[in-house]
Amino acid sequence: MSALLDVRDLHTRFRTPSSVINAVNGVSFSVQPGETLAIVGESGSGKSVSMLSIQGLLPPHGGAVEGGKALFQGIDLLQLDKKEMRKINGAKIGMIFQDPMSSLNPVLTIGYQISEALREHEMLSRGEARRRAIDLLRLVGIPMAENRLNDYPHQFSGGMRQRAMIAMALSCNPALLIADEPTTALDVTIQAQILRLVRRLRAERGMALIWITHDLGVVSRIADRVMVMYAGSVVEEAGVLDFYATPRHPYSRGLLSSLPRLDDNVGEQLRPISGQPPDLSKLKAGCPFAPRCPYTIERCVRETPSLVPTGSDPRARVACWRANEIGAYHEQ
Amino acid sequence: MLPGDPVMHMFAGQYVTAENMALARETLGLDKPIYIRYFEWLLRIMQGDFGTSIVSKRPVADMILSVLPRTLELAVAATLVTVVFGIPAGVLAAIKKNTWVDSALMVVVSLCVAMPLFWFGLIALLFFSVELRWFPVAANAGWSSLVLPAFVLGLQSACMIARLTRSSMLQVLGDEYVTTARSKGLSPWRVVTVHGLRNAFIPILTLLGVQASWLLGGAVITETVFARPGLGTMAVDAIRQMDFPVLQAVVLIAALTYTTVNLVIDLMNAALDPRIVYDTEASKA
Repeated sequence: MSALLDVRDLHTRFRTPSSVINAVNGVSFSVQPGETLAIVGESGSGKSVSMLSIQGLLPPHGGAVEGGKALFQGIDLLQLDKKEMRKINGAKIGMIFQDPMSSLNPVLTIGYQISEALREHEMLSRGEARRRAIDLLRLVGIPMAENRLNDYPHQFSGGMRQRAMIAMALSCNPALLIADEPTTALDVTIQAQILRLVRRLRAERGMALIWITHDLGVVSRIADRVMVMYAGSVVEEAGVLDFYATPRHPYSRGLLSSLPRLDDNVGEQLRPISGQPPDLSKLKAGCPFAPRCPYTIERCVRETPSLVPTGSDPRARVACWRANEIGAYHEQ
Repeated sequence: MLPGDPVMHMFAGQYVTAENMALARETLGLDKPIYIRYFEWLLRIMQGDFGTSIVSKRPVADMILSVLPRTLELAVAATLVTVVFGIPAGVLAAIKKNTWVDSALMVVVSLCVAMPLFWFGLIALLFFSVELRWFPVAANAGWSSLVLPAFVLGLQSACMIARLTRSSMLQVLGDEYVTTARSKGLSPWRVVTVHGLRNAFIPILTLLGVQASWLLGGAVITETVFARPGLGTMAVDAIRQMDFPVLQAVVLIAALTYTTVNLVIDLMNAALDPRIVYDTEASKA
């Protein structure tokens, strides 16, 4: 089976007059049709920038892709000109964002914003696009959809706005949906509803999903595979069950052990990862996580570990010199 | 309040007796204290009576009506220049931020804003009318005589609008819904106009309203420089000749225009931004 999206050695840098920020440093991953990949990492780890790079949506002044390939259905997105890229964005790749309030245009109606992509990509007439927009709003569970079409975003609640965003992203039946922290700005009950909705839609439509998040609780409920990013690099990739059972990278271990658990003893403290992520304009040789890692040896500071296969899963990878030692120790 | 005595002005250089001057003051109503005169004026205005000019002895309403169309024509043309040049220039500068296009536009804009209007008018007149002879020097030659004054009057506001449009667009283009629009694969034109300008336009419209009032002040200078008959020249003449009733009427019209234009702008803002609602029911809720 060939991959739907195959990203290889992606590099993105932001250049300012005084410094160069290495936002994405050689990121590689692939997504199979119908598969859900969760990309996990803290703010500034390059999760969102990687996605924007692939889609050619980096802000016009600043960031630029400086190397790599992004094969989508066999076509390298990074080689496409803007016009060709526009035929893919919104049509074959749908995108939903973190904050549904600021991601919707406040002065245009919900109906207009949903039908916009349909009219652009499928050349539908106003009336046809409107009918499709009503169907889409129904699909995402907005009651009395035909009456809500002429509403503006501020007349929708937070959860309904995110539903409308999903309707918008799905309008042209994309093969891949990229969701950039779509539940972070929502409260927990709404979060659960949106998760259920996306799971249902993914199953019905057989689309692949990239779910960017820093919330490991969400990951376990939606993902097939997990990819962990740190300081613009992939540090680990694994199937979701393996990831929770035997995280191999010390950073993944840190993330998982900083989660509160139901079976924790009362009064037990959370274990945060100490230290700060590195300054992306001053990356040096060596593992970027080394300064915060409890397992650092001299080699970690000297040489950057490359992402290598690990374990029995052929797609599982980890970038740590001591992954095998640490894995073996904890499996005992 | 204007210092000086219009009666002295009327009879300047003539032999008049003190009685005659007193009589003239009485017929003009100038012997009464100022607050009485003000309320009398107010009462007459309510009845649609703007009084009679001290100098020409014609009804002020007639005088105003005869020149009002010329000033309106100038104001509308100048606003058109402002919108047609200011907004696209600002949008262009925003899209081409930090390129030579942006820098060149902003240099021109700063120069324009810094130039005094009367000086700019004189230079334009000298260059385009006297040297190049593209436009008539005289003010009464139909549409072609409107071009230069409208440009002179409109260009400065156009430059301010261009600057505001640029900053407003830059802010809006950085907003997340613009990224959403781009992620839908829309054309750059649609992204900039439908998603960008539509949102950036709200502060621009407000400044346009402020400038509409400023335009009347500018009309005084422009009309004087180009010797165009209009409210501006009429006001200047009235000040010179201490023609109270005319000046009062011009000031009143300026004030009315200002409030009307700004009311219209507020209503347009509400039409443009669905979040603004002028509805007593909604404000109670």
